Amino acid sequence: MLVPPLHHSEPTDPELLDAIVRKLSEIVTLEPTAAIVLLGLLVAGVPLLLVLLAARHRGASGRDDG
Amino acid sequence: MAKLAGDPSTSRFYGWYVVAAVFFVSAVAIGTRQAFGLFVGPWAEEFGVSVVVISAVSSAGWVVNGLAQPVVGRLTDRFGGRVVMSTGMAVLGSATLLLAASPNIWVLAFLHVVVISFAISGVMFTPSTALIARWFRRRRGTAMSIVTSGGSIGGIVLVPLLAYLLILGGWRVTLVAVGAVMLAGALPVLLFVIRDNPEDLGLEPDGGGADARLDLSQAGGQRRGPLTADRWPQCFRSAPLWLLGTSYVVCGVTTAMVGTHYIPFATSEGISTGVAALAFALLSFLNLVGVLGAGWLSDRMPRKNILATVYWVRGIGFVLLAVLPAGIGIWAFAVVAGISWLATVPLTSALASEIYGVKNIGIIVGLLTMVHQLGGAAAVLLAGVSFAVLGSYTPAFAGSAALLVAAGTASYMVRERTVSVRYAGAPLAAGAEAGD
Repeated sequence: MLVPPLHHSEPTDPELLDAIVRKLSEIVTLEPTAAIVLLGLLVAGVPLLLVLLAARHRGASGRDDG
Repeated sequence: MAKLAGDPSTSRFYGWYVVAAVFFVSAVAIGTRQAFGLFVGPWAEEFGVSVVVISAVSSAGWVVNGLAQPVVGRLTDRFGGRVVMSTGMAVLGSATLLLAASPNIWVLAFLHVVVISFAISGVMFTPSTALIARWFRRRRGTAMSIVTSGGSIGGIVLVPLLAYLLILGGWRVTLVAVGAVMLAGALPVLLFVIRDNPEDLGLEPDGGGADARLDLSQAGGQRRGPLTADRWPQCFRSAPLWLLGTSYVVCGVTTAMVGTHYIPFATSEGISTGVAALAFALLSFLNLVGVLGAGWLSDRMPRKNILATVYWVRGIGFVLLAVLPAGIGIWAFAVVAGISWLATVPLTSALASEIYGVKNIGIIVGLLTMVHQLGGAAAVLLAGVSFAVLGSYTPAFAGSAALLVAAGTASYMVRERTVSVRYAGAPLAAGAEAGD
C-alpha cells in the first residue's frame, strides 16, 4: 500500500516516492532478485490468465450468455 | 439499501472480464506513471541536469496529458474504447522502449512530454470509464470503482518492482522491462479480451435483467434521460456538467497539492520523511477501501449524495491538517482523507454517463478530467507560492477545506432524480429513490 495514489497523471514527488520505497524495503525483507522474480511472475501471469479465461468464456458463450 | 430490482446473478457476465482487463491495463499504465519519481535521480545524474529540469519535464507532461483527455475522449466516442486503448498502449509501449535508448535529455523530454503523456491518456480513466459505462448500468459504480482501483494496485506492485529493477539493472533496463510488459502483456489483453459493447457478443448491459429491454434506444443498450446528449456541446447548456466540473477542479486542486507538497509540509513541521511516508501509506490503503466502498454504495443510493459526502469528508481531513498539531494532523488526515481520495473518479464518471448518456461520455469525461488536471497543476504552483510568501501551509490547507465544502455542495446540487437516466423509466434501485 506504500505508494501515492495517482488520480490521473499528477507528477509524484520523488522525495516522497524515495521515502516510501525505503520504508517498503524495511518492511519487506526480500532480496531484489527474489522480489523481481515474484513480482515479475505476477505481472506476466495475470494477462496470460485473463486472455485464457476470457477466450474460454467466449468459447462457451452459446451456453453461458446466449 | 435495497437490492437493485431484478438484479441477476452477474458472476459469469462477460463484462467482468472487461473490468478485469481494464483493471490490469490501468494498473500497468498508472503504476508505471507513478514510478516516474524513481527515475528523477538517475536521469539527472546521467544527463547532467538538475532535478528541477526533470521536474519541469514531468510537469509539462502532466499538462499535455490533461489537454489530451478531451481528444482521447472524442476518439473513444467515435472509434470505441478497444481501438483507442489498444492504439494508446501500442504507442505507449513503443515510446517507453525508445525512452530507454534516449541519448540526451532533449529526446527524453520529447518522448515523455509529447508522446508518452499523450499516449497514456489513451489507456487511462477517460476511455476506460467510457467503455465500462457501456457494459454496466445497474452496477456501473462498482465496475468503475474496481477499474479505478487498478491504478492503486498497479502502484503497489510496480513501484517496488521498478525500484528493485533500477537497483539491479539501471534505468534503461528497467524501461525496457516496462515497455515489454506494455507490449507483450497489456496490449494482448486489450486486443483479445476487450469488446466495445455487450451487443458485440450478443449480450445486454449487466448481463440482462428485468429492465434490460426497456427503451434500448442508444448504443450500448442505454436508455434516454431528459439531458441525454446527441451532440456533446449540448451538455454545456445544462447545470450538471458545470456542477460536476467545478467539483472535479477542486478534486484536482486538493489531491495534486497534497501529492506534491506533502513531504515539504512534513519537513517544514519537523516530521521525518519516513514518518510522513508511513502516514501517506495509510492514506493509500484507506483509499482502496474508500474507492471500492463508494462505488458499491453508489449503486444502491443516489450517486450525487455519495459524491458530495466524499468531498465533505476530504474537507474535514484538510481542516484536521490545518488545525491539529502536525504530528497528529498528518495521521488524522491520512485516515479521513484517505477514504475519499480516489472515490471521486468513478462517481463523477458514472454520474456523468447517467445524466448525458454513453454516446458522448468519452469527451464529457475527457473534459472533466482536463479541468481536474489543469486545476491540480495550478494548485501545486499556488501552494508553493503561498508557502514561500506566508511561510506556512496552513492557509493553503484551510483554503482547500473551504473549496471542498463548496465542491460537496455543488455535487449535492445535481438533481440526479430529475436528470439521471437511472431514475427514468423503470425503477432501478428502490433504495435510490430517497435522498434526492
